[in-house]
Amino acid sequence: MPVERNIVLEVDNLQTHFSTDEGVVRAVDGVSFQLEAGKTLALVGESGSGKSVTSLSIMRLLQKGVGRVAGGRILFEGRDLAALTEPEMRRVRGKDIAMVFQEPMTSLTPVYTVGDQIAEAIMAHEPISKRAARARAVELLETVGIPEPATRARAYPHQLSGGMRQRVMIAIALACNPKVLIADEPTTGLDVTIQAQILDLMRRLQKETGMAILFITHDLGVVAEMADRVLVMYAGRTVEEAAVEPLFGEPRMPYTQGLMASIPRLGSAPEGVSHPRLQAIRGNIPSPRNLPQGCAFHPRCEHASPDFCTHNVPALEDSGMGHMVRCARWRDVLQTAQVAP
Amino acid sequence: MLVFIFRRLLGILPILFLITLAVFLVMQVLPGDPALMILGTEATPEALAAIRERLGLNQPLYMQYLSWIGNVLSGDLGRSMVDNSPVSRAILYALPVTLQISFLAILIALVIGVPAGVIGATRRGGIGDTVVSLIGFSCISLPGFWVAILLLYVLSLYLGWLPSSGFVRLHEDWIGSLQTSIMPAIALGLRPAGIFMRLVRSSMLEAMKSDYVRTARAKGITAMKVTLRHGLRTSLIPLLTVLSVEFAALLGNVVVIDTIFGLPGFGRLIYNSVLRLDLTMMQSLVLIFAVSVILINLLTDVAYFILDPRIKER
Repeated sequence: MPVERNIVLEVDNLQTHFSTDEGVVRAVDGVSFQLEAGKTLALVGESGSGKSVTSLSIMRLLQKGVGRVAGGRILFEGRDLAALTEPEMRRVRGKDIAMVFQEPMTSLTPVYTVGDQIAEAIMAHEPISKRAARARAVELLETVGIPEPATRARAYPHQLSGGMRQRVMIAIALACNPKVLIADEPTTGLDVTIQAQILDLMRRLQKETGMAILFITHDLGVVAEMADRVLVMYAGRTVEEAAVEPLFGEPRMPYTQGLMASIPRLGSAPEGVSHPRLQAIRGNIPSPRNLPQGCAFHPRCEHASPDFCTHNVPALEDSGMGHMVRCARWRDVLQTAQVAP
Repeated sequence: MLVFIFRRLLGILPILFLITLAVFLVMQVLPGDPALMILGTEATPEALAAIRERLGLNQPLYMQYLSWIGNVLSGDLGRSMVDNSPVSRAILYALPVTLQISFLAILIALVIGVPAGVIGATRRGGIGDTVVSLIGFSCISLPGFWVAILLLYVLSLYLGWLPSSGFVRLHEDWIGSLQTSIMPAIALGLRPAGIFMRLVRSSMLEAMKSDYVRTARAKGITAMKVTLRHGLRTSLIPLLTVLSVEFAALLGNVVVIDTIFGLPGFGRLIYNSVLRLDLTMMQSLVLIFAVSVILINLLTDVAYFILDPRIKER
């Protein structure tokens, strides 16, 4: 029996280009994914992998004249956002798809009260009086767990802590009950306890509203907690995509394996060694201006074959049960991983 | 708010003391004997002594200072050393002229500078931006007196639209008053207009790249609202700083402008008092200029307080 899937957002072969002095840079090169209502998809990758650019492309918030969506489709409930005019797109932003950003300290305008900034988001999409919008803003502050919401609504951003500001950002994002929430590293830069609270809050709100979340992060610990499905990006391309359990249980792309190995774990040290060394992936992410020939990961890959991987870009293929992987040697890689202790 | 203003006022007192002291001492150091100036070189020693006695010039310095301050505080700025008329009357006569011209000049500068700066920032790299930058640079580099002469030539002599000199007071005939003050105000206001233009452009460019403008765009409010409510609103804070500095600089330029347009303002008073070495007049004028600058700064602080909620914490 086929499981009914309610896909709200589908990104199909997205191409985002940046024009620089040194020519066109393909920051996102053929990324595709589907986002289901009520589910969370995590976009994972190092800085520069194109994960934030993907989210800004969906919102069409790329800096004008620098970045542009050069190809592909972004389907929201069947409508292609990439083909909308700017006024049409404006009506989608904040209403159908809302976004929470990485920097709560600088993401609120310093000269307006947080209540007014939430009310502004409501009034952008609904014919509602300022007074009613302010009352709704107070309710939203309560929803995101801010104590004394009526008082806090009159506070300016600088009077609130980072965690509080991120709650305000979430309240702004929720203002019009969006179907999709894009969270771009929403907990980076917050204390660990606050991080956990913000993640709890997002999970609770997702359960209450049934919205889909596109969660962008480089933190695999957060991914394990939040995501239903995970998409790993490297140098602007998808390199592995799977449901969260198989991806963590049996990563198939050497890059993902490297990421997993670089998570610190308690008790993973061999006997007699008190502090295990973290396994770092050697080398750095390549500059998108100057990608290596062949597989973009081959200079850092332990499994790279000198003949094939240096010359051919591997395709993204289904390695079974919808576990997508972009590696020419994933079968060999999997065997080595199983043989190793 | 009131506490804030009160604290600022308290802070001003020592500054005022130092300014009055400096003004007083500088005037004492200046060469030239006012008694000789009034009576001429052929005056008898008795006559000179008599006039020094009358003007209080033979008293010790601190007594002269204290009596001057006492008089100033009671509104008596002394009498002109040239024609013995009360200085305060001359100042009250000139003050509205200069106030009207300078406020009009700043108004013109804001009306031209702020929208032009916004256009430059939003059309970055486009034709609008190039035109704005060109105009901005011209405004800053063209000297006021040259603009004044050009305006006089074109608008008064050639086209005959505006009177070339003189001043009509606001309460007598406001249209005529505007006609006589518009050219001087433009000549004074062009430089600040150029400066505001460039400042608004650069701080808006900065603001439009900021995280909070990105948040505003992500809310789905219109591009116009993003630009004005978020981009421009935060750029007003640096504008305020420059506004107060430019206003003070503008007061210094009225000397040239008053002379060119034959205005009975502060500029003319300064000019005449320097030529005739009218010490009491000069002293009072310098004092009033200094106090105006302090007042402008006080107003600026109050405006900061209103525009930037972060100030309240300090």
